[in-house]
Amino acid sequence: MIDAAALLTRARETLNLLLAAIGALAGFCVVVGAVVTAGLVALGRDERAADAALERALGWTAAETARADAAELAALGALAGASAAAAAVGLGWAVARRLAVPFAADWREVLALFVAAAVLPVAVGLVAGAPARRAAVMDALRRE
Amino acid sequence: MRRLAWRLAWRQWPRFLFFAACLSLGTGFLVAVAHLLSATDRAVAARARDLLAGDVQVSSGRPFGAREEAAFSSALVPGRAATRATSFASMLSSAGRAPFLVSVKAVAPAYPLRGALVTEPKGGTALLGPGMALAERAIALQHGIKPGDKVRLGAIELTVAGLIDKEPDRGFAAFAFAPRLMIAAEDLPRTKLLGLGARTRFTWTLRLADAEDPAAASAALKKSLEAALPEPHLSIESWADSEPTIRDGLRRSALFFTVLSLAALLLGGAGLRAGLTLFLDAQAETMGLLRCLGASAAEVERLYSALCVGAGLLGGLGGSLLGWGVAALAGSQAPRFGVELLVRPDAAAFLEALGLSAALAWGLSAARVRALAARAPLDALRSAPPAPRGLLIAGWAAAAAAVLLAAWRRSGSAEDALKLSLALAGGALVVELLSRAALLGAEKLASRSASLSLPVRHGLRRLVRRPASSRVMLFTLAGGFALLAVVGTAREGLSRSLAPSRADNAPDLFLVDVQSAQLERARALAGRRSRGETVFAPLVRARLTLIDGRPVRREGAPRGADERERGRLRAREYNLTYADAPNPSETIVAGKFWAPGAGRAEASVEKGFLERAGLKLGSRLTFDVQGREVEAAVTSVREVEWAAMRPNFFVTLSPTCSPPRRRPGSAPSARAAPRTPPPCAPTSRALCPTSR
Amino acid sequence: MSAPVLELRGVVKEFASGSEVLRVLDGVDLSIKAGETLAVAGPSGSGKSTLLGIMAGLERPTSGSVLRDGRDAARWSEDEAALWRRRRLGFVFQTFRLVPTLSALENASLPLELLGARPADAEEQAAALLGTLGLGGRLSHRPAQLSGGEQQRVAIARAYVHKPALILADEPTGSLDRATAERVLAALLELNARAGTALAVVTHDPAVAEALGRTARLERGRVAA
Repeated sequence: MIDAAALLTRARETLNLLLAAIGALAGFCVVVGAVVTAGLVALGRDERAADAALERALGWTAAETARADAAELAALGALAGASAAAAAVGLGWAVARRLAVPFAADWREVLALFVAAAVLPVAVGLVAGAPARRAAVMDALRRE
Repeated sequence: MRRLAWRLAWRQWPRFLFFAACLSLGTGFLVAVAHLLSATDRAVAARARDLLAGDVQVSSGRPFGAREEAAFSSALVPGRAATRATSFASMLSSAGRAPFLVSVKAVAPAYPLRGALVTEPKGGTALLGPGMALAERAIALQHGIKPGDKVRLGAIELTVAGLIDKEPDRGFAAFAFAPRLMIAAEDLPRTKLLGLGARTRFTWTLRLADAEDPAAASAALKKSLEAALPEPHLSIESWADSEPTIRDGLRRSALFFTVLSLAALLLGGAGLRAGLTLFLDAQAETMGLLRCLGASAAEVERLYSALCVGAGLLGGLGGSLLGWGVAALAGSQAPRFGVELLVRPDAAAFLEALGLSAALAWGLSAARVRALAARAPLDALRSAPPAPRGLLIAGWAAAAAAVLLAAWRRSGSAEDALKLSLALAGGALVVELLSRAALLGAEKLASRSASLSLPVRHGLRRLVRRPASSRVMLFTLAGGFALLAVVGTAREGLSRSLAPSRADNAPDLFLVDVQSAQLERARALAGRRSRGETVFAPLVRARLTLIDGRPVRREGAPRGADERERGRLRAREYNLTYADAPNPSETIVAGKFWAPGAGRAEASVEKGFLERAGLKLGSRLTFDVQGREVEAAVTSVREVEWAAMRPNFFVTLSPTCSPPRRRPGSAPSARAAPRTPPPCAPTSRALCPTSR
Repeated sequence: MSAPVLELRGVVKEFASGSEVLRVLDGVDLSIKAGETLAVAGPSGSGKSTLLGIMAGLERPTSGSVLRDGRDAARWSEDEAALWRRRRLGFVFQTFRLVPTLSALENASLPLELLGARPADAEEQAAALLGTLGLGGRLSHRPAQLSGGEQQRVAIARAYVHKPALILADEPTGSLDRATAERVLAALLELNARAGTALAVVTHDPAVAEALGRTARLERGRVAA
């Protein structure tokens, strides 16, 4: 006689361990996204500094300039979150079909991912873009 | 020029650090997978001769007869040694504890002929003797049984003499249904368990003489035994057989990690390309200046190609270090899962990471570098011309070839590598299209939403105004989060399919090897305990001997993993069942299932098995069922919902094929899957004694 | 009498613009010898920059011949022209064109390094030249840390450091205020006199043209005088 419940518990434990490792690796793909975002924001420093300088010259406050930066990055995050959610539904369905398991999204987890996707670029982008905002207005304008 | 290249790179090190970081994570995980695979390869190779606990093994579901004994005697020349073991599953009970399933192995003192049986206290089989038993440590951990305790196995009482920590032929980090209980061979008859016709495995194992060449002598002996013992119920293995099978299995299970590593590389590659493009465009003026000062276009191209390749090499170096660290960490944790992994620096993996990174960095920048370097110097301040097409294609081809090569090296199969790369490309295309659509939506929102505050509108406009970098940021972020979400949904799906309480009509208790004489009692017992229908399915052990009249076993050496898998599937021993109709968890996807009472010998085969074993609708299968030859044609193909946990089989035969009734040892046993009422989960143990 | 460092004979340059052909230079004859100075003056759109490009070998004439060091360079490949520039030409631009990530010293020693000089020798010569231009204390500064006049003096040092036969300067004082422009022009002429290098300056500033003495005035693609 085989106690299926006990066996399944063991199988689930083993599987959870494997999935945790795979999940951690997928988490590193998010890290790649964050690195790329930070890197591209930093690489576009001159252009961003010129934007900020022009805005400041036109009378924007430093806070307003930062808000425009944050809005840009939040929009980027929200769009990334929406694209990721849509892609996850399609790809998740395909993967579930391939693994012959039911397609089952944990919607709380998806919501949490969407929020994380919206917040992450704001955090890394504001930090990476800080030097551009701090650049002396006249220097940036002269460089133009 | 070299000095200038160094200065340009050194003065802009944060940029180069970014380029390297883009590649480091992806290559790092590929390096980690490579290290872990080669560590497991080494572990398997080192343990290859231990995995059979000898050099050549003959095993069978039936006791060996005179013909086999004669062959064994002639193989046992001076210098060689042989031993026997008998294994089967049974229930073990101990005072005050609920009985539980164990995998019993009765061994002679010579066991194991290769490898070591590690026990606590030390001694291995020397601790065994009449009335003594060795229990796997899992028994102590799960059931609280310790050395010195008395346990009951069948008709005899045994004293636990020690705990088994390592058994050489237990499999490589195998998932076992039941923990091991080892007893002395002389106690076996006294258990009175063999007479019940339980599924018993008899093995004869031989160790070659020290002077013999392990590979050649074992292959020769295997061949001569195969010639002397052609009976299909006999399985003849040499130590060298287990290695490729295990290695293929490990490679397949490493595919998930390879896919994610390549996905990380793909996302990093997108970031690298965008970063290098921004960097190179910013360098356009310097390139023009160098041309004005007398550097040729080729020299400028070489300089900037070297910078890009250098960035790639830096990424490969970072990836190598990261991968090595991850692999070493994983290797240090492996003993917790019963595997000893010695992770050694693998020069090939490091070189591959460096090559892959350099190829990606060159491939993703070559066209841009050439376009900018070849531009007329005085055009330096004007917009860049379109990239020359030839090099653009060559660059992408180099990058794609590098990724394919990495996929092929991990999976060990060109077909898997291609499928994997195509799946990745498909996923990337989906994410890219969605990102573009999202950006288009943002553009519309920015132009139409007057109600938004100025900074917000302005932020949106900025996002749209820099489409190249916005698209790449969107792609990498969306790709990363999508992967995380896909893994989440897969985990949820797998959890649900493995959760017995949630699956509809899923049984949580299985009775296996119910003998004909026990059937009525088992049915009555299941009827009392079950909250729903109890399904009993007849079961016989069988081996496939002929496919379309051609012998299965005597094939030449397999070429590649797929053929090896096909050979393994065809040659293994099966549980067959007979049925008049498919059960509710089965769907016929090709052909037609026979009508009840139909008189022809037909077989219905599970779809995945059919594909992997290289069968087709119409194939004529000949099975050796307990010594009787049964031939049936494949007339239908089934898809099986394995998660339903019903008694499902790869091959179902029409009842016409069922054996004549019934003598002990050859009668079909039954497998039953009753659904116990949810509150009665603990009572499942109470059922155990009745199955003995 | 030495051969001209550079000689243009009947140089025509046309650009296709849709179905029309635009003739920017229309039979230019010009020559410059070692030690000579020449101002190329003319209004915007007169073809000054195109002429400079052809003189430097950065552009090819549609017809006519270009003789460099007495050799016909009309059929030179890109790489041959690049090698000639490396050895025989110095360039000064209106907007300085210094490599932003390199120091003043590294910028100035760049042509010597392109010629294969040992880095230490190259930097020693460049440092000496920068010293004579009053930039001895600014050797390790990056372009962004220098004023416009200082940047242009670094560019002049870069143009002279490998002792070329010809310096081409494109509006070298165009981005500078009057006082700085005068200092920069003086430096240019002083080095020219000291090294005996030919100097051709494209300018629309009459004061610069006057300081150089000989002037070729471009009007509608032709040298007027």
